[in-house]
Amino acid sequence: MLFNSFEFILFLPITFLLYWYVFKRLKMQNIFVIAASYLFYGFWDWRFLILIFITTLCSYLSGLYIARKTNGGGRWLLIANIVLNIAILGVFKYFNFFAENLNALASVFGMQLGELTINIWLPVGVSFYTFQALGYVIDVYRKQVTATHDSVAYFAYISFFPQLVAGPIERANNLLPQFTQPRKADYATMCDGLRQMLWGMFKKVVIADNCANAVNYIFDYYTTLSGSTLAIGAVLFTFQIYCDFSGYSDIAIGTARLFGITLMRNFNMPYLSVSIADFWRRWHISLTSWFRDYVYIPLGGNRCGKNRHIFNIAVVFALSGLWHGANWTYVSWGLYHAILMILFVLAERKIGKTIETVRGLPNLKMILNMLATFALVAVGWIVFRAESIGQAYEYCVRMFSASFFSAPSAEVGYVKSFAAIAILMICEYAQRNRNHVLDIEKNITNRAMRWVIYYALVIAILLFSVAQTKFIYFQF
Amino acid sequence: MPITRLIRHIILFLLPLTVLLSIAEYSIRKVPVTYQVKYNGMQQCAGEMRALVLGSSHSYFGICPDSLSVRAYSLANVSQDLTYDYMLLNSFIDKCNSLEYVILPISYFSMYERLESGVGNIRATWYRLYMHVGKYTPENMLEIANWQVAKKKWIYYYVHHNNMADCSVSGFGLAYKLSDRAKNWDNGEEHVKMNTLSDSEYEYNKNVLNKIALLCKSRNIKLIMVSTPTWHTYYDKLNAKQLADMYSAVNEVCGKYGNVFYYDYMRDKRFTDNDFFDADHLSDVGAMKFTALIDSIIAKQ
Repeated sequence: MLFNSFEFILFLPITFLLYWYVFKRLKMQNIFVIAASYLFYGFWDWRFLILIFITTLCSYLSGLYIARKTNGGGRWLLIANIVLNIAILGVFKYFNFFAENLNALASVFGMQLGELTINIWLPVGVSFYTFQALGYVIDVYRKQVTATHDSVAYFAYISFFPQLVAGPIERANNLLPQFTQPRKADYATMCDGLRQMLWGMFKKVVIADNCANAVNYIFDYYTTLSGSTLAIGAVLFTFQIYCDFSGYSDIAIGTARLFGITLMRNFNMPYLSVSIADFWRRWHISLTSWFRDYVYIPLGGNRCGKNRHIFNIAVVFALSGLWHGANWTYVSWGLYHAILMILFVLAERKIGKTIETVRGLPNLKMILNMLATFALVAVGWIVFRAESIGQAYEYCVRMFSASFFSAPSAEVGYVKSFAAIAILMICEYAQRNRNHVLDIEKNITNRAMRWVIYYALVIAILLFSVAQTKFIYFQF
Repeated sequence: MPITRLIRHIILFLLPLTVLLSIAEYSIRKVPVTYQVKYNGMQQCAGEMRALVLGSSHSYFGICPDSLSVRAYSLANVSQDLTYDYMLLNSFIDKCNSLEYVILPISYFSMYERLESGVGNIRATWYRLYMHVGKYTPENMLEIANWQVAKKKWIYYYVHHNNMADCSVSGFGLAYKLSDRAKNWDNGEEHVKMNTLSDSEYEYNKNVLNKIALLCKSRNIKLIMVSTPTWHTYYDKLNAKQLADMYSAVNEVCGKYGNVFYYDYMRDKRFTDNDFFDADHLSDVGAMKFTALIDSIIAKQ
């Protein structure tokens, strides 16, 4: 069930009313959350439910057994659990990728391995809930989280529908306790949740979907378009992916708040970053922090020799790229960012002053830093969006040709998208110290004025919406 | 209670929007569409019909009921698949007391196509709303549930003042005039690509075709299946398996029921350049020529 679908418009109010008015007891509320979440997820394909059930059950039981073993015996169970989860991802997401590459490698040595690929469905959001379950078991092993005996709370924690298919990838110490304690309905929180949902919907429908039309055209016909048009394509995709994914996160976080649940922040205005390190503190925060805590730090983080530190960065970014999908373009995108981060580390730069500390407008140096960071990130997105590394390379070569300075093609409609992007950036800058752009209760105390803004956004959504599209991050 | 307060405020906020959307729904429903015109047409003259034309755009633009020597009506419509042909026939057959012939076009895609799974699934809403056939789903209860299409439809009619019910009183499509033909009308390869589908619905469609034949037989109606003429750039590119499956299904039904006949004009050389609006649709000129052939078939029966 998509957030921007008719089914969800029916599903959400019904679930909300039943949750608060019918299932008032904590246990019953949690059971209802599981039922609603499984219904939400089963809308894609009921078979997906089997996999999420197995993942949840295994991690729940592993947590209990690991907590019981005080003499270190839980280590094997932890390893078994990690292997199981990686195996699930390996089979459903990466099997064909590795099989094809193995076949290609074998053919280099003159060997024929035959047909290795399998016809298998990729469950929506499998990477998200697998990582959430994995994080819990590791936290229990590290004794950073107490293993829960409350199976209902745990199943609700893994399956909670707002964040099930595209995150944020929640951590047990934040989300799990919220399912073991009674939730309180708070008017201000729920109102703010609705505002965040509205802003998320605006980003998805008005910006991301409109950018998508131009982006698809430019990437389909990149061999016939000028360098300047290709640059516009790269910039539009940069905003498309941000508004698509952060729009989803906003809707997810806002929806969760309607149910008295606070999810972690997943994006913090990443295109206002002043350096690549700053960018990675603001982009897909839940995944970045997951890799930091469960991969980067166990490898030694930055508290080791320079070479080892560089290796750690490379590993984390390559894995982060691979997490996004079974394609070399994603791995290359990860490695591209690894190179940028390594250069940042080698230059012994610090993040320093960020946009939140600025009063009024940023100075010229900061603006140049932001533009440079944006340009580097945008080039990375070309690799991410391309169908192959060859296509990404050719796109970049054509983009940075002499026609980069020519007038962009008028065939591609992008004026509307750029106008919406300008609104987005102005609003984000103005609200840089807030949780989200529509966190305006303190800025605008007049309710009528606030409602005018809400109506303006709703009307923009209705008028500027294009054909309904899926959220990009569902495929990961 | 904070939730009650929230709900009160949400209702208050949504009230003007609901009014606005209700007006939008009402005004969109007021746009005349072929579905409504055909439904009303059938309500008025179903009892007098001797021939009924079903099928997709191939027959909607290719067979003109006014030019037949028997009283006829066309229920054909763009992207109409066999399922909807069956549902429409089933819903009107009790009123069609004089019906003797059902003309059903069998196209290259007919045995592989399902309206709901294709790009034309919005049409399921229009069948439900205006012709009262098909399943109820959340998407087909309201025009505005398919917001993008509803928006386009509203602009098309109220802003650009275009006609969305461009058919004759007997249900024949008037939009494919030779004088309006595009310069690049010869799009055979492109249309074949569009109409080449997966075979997953083959058995299902075969079953529906049998049901249509059986329904006709039970009412002593002759089922005349025809493949409409196509241009050589179209028929030369057709997928052999999909085409073979089409012929196999048609032959099976013809062999099984005595009331079913099949005529194949797909490669008929009598249809020349000006008879086509595009590679697989007849122009108004071609439609008259083809209707004359259908008339001669009816006369022979």
